[in-house]
Amino acid sequence: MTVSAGNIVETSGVEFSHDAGSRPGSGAKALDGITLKIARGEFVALVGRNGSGKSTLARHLNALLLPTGGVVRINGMDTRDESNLWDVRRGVGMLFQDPDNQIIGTTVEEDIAFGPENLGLSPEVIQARVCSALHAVAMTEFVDSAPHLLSGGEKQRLALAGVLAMGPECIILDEATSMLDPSVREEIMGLLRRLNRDEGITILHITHRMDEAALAERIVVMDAGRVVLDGKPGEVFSDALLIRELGLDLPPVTELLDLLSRDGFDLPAGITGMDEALEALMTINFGRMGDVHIN
Amino acid sequence: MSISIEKLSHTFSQGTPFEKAVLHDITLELDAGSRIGIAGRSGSGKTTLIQHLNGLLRPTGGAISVNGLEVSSRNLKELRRRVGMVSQQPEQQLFEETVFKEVAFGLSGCAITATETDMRVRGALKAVGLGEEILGSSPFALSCGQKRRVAIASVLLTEPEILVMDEPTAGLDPRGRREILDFISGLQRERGLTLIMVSHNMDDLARLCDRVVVLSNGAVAMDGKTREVFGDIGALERAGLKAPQIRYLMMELKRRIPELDDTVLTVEEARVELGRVWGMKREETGSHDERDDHGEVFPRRFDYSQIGSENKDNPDSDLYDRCISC
Repeated sequence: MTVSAGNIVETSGVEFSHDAGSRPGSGAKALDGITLKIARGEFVALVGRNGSGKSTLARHLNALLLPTGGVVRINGMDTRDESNLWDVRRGVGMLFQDPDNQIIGTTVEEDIAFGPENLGLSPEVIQARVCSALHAVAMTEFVDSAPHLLSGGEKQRLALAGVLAMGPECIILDEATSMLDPSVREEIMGLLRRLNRDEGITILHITHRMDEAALAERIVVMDAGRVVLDGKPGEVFSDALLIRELGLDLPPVTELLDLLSRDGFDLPAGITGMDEALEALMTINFGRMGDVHIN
Repeated sequence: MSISIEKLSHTFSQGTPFEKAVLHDITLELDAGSRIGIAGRSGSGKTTLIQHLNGLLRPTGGAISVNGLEVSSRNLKELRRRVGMVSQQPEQQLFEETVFKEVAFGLSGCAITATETDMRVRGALKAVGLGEEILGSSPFALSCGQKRRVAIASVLLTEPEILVMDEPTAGLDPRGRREILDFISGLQRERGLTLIMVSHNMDDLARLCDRVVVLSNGAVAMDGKTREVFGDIGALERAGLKAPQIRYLMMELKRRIPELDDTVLTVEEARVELGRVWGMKREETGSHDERDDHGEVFPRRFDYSQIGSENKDNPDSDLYDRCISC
């Protein structure tokens, strides 16, 4: 079996049924033949309607779930091989929607140290990791705080620090920004972009917010346990009808341009960025102004 | 029904070392039949504030009255019938075996006939846009959006005049979100409800609300018509919020196209405004949208005239009132 050195995630024909053990062949497949490669250092958004299999796929990528068919490889390691379990989980960290589900310490410091302690690292290394994780999420002044007294956004940053302290190569966010207010969401997104750009950490971001997905380099769209679209935001959002059929929306700016082009204005499809949108709209504007002068 | 909040304060764990003041001197008049959005960063006191509206929390200072009725322990039953509260992620409180039992639970203990219960449950489900075929299903077998609607139906069972919703679209996929917003809007208009909605999603507030109250550190930081509040980007960002994305785009465009009205907030409003500036004739363009009296445009997905109509002319409604207040 050849492993491409550049891919941190490689799945091939992955299938998963929740009740595979009880009555073989009876259950609907939550994953139905997922073949996906994510290269080291990519920033990928994973979108799809509720129940399309996004979270189930995410849980396969750090061996919380094992495929009932096909293979998942993380850094070339088969997740079904139990001897790989520690290395797989150290490589891929998960951040969930509700940070309360993954905070266990009685102080912020203790919580972040929990992961590294279990890796059997020396106290000095653990301390250094806690310190740099706290620094990364800008929570150094909370080091002795009790987690349950933190606000929602602070808890989510703490949970992220706990993941960072494990030194992951890839972070998966399972709707981790959905309960955050706009400013904290922007903060977390900025933090992720920085980790991606400066530390080369691979990011897989599951979200229902299309404007957030549009910030990724690549968007993977799932439906009924399959990957149905995979490409750059501009490509994925260029077919408005298909996107709606899949239970999704266009980002607001993209939708505006789509509606205007349906009104007869000549605008390109799939524009997601503010600057591109401005440029396209101003082109139309100059065209219209020209008309006025002719009249 | 209107709500009058007068110098409301709330302090958690008063008199202990963990004492924490979360609301300070909140004074608000919430008019009957209006659609009010409540925004603010996490920890600003939004949820604490709305938990006062049906007496889940009592003020530690100031007072609150609903339709002139002061919130106190003597009238909680009446108050909770009139003020329907849909909490965050209400689908997590589902517990019954079937959708029917789930929705009907609110009527248990009231002396009403099985036929009457049946009728009310069906009416409530219809109001949230769910079909009768799911009555016998387990609520846990439904999709996220459907579960949320079942939970909302159980709140509508008491025919509240004020509907308070805490993050009604959080965690839903884009279609589920659009559908929930559409039906809330339809329901509000059909029944003339007073709608109070807490949300982190500024697009949702821009689309649904005619007034927005922004809380910051437990005090009212902004309060006004939706366009005014989202028009003041500086104050909004100081309170930790952002305007809808379209507003930022329109502001940039306005610097280049001075005659543009850049206070519009939704995609549909921006479409109309750009069409106007570019001199497009907007006779019926074959668009399948409808515009309501709040100036919002909703894609037509539900037949609003159907929603809740069977409850309005209900001959037994006084019987119902008696049951609820028993």
